[in-house]
Amino acid sequence: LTRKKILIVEDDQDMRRALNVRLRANNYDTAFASDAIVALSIAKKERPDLILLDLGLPGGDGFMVMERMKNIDSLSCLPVIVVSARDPEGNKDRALSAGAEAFFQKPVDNEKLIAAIRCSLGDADQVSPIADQVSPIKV
Amino acid sequence: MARILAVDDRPVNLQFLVSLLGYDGHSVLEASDGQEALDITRDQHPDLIITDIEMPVMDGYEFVTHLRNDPGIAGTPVIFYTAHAGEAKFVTQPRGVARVLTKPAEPEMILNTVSSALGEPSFTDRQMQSAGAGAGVESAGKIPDALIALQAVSLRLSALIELGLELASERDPQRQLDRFCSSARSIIGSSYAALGILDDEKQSIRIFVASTHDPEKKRNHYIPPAYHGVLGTVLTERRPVRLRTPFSDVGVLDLSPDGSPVSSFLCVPLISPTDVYGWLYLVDKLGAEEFSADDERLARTLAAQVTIAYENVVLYETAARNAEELDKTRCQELEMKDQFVSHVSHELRSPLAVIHQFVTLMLDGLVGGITPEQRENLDVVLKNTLQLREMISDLLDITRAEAGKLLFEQHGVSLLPLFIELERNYRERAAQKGILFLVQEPRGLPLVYADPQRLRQVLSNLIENAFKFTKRGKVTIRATWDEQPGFMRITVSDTGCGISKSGLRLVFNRLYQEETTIELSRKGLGLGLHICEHLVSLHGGRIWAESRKGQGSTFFFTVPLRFEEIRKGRGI
Repeated sequence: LTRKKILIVEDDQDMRRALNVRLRANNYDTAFASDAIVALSIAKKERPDLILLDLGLPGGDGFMVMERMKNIDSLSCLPVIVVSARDPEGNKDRALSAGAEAFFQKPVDNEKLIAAIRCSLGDADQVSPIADQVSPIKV
Repeated sequence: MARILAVDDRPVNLQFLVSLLGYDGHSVLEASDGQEALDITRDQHPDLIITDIEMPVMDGYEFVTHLRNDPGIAGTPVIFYTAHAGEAKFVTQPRGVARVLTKPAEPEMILNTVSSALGEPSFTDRQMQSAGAGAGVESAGKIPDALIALQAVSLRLSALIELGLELASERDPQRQLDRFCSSARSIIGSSYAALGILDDEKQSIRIFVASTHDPEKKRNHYIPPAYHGVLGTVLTERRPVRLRTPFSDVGVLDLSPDGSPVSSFLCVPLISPTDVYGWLYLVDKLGAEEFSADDERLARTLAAQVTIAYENVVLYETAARNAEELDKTRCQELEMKDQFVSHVSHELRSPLAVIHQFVTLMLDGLVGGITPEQRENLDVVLKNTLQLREMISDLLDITRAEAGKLLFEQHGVSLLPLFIELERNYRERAAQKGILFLVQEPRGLPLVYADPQRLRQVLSNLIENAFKFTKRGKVTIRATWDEQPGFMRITVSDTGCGISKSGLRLVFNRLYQEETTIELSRKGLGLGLHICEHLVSLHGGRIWAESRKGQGSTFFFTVPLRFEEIRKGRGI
């Protein structure tokens, strides 16, 4: 059984370290990138199964990374989960329409984050793990 | 009788004195300030002077001082007629002024004071005598004439007062001047009136309004140059001009509204305390060959009125401009504040996220085992981290709300899923605290018209508060829709420490925190309820609280029902 690999794109070294421990504890392999450009080359080289993407990055923001990924065959279908300190207002919708599967605002609820990763990678043992906000109750 | 000089800067007051003193048989000279009065006194030697005190150029005190120092006229008796009689009394004696009348005085009182100053029998005594002498042939004819004259004056005065009231109630500057112009034309009785206000450089006409007697008559929209012929004389010499045909100044003929010959003409300057800023002219007196001295006085009175109206125009324009700029500045400031807070909250969240991650790593045992005591301490760190996170959210929310930028979208929403979710979220917390969390599920209730995220935010805030202040007992949420037509009422009640009477009024204020509960509540910015109030009012609802110290609190808020539900409810 091969462990799935997650690329952590995050410019804060401490945050990278913490997420690394968290993901490895949940049986995922990890790879790292600390800026937008490196993120794309590492993604091409490491072939991760999922990207955890920060929005505020040196060398171009997370939106740019998602935009470029669309034009790279090997990355165009790679699932992305955005984890950012930015305000969900405006950024959440923008991230989702840029192709992200979920948007989490820092500090994140770890259980929800892991659930979203599992769901995205198809190894969910539970259903409906949705990001920060439960879907609106619309009628 | 006597020759009396009346001195007052207000034409309306002068007109009143002229009419009144004329009625008692006196001839009246007029002056509108102390300097003019002094000149007239030296020139005409009146028998008596009745003067106002507060006047431009030279006031009443200075006038009397000069008068008393001029041997030729020093003996002229003076009556002060002033609104500030109390103050005047202190200075009258040294200046040899024996009589002070308080404005407004009864006509009889004025006439009696005048008679006494002239050493004549009082007006009242003379009236009684003539009444006692029976219906004397002479007085029988004279009094009705006088009454008619007074009545005419009184009519004009009341027309002036009405105009004043109208002008005061008219907010739109253009309409105000229009109304003024047509009132001036009808009160004085002319076929045409026009009003021109100079621009700031005093070179040309900035505002021009006109009124015609006959609306059928085509109004001439020709605006005369500011200094055209006789108009220039009025502006430069700052005095009224009254003319009748044939005119020595051919320029008058150009002022005919429809090109027909002009028979009579009256023009007065519009004068502010410091400057001339325009003219009012009237063409063709109705029912007479020419404009009378009374008309001229009335026109000057009206011109004084328009000064106030015009100043209102200027103030109004300035105020509107200022308000606009202020509004713009305020918007910019709020925008800057919003951007700043947005930036800061982002910057605060990043390190907070790192703290949160490492604390949870340790708590989850991912970096080695921890002792129960360490776990307890880490729980405290975690709890405070999450509190800090909420504070940052609140701060951003309130800034957004103040900048009017809170995203908000109302739909038809069912309360049931929301209540079920809240019950799930808080059940465990309640159990840990050893209190009950009761949710009366809103089954069979109509949909509300609300933004679901914001509705959840309000309810969570109220529930968080209830939990915070309740040590034992229960927290209950319920929804009802019978209390107020068209609205759902949602209630969060607890059995906690309650709110003081004074606190109850302040509890929704920004940054308010109950002092006595500070130990329990100090962790927070005091913004929660303030945000709730804002969110509820965005929905068109209302929020309030009831509480007794030590006996728990109940928070109520209302949310409108969806339109269809309202229709159903009303049976439309």
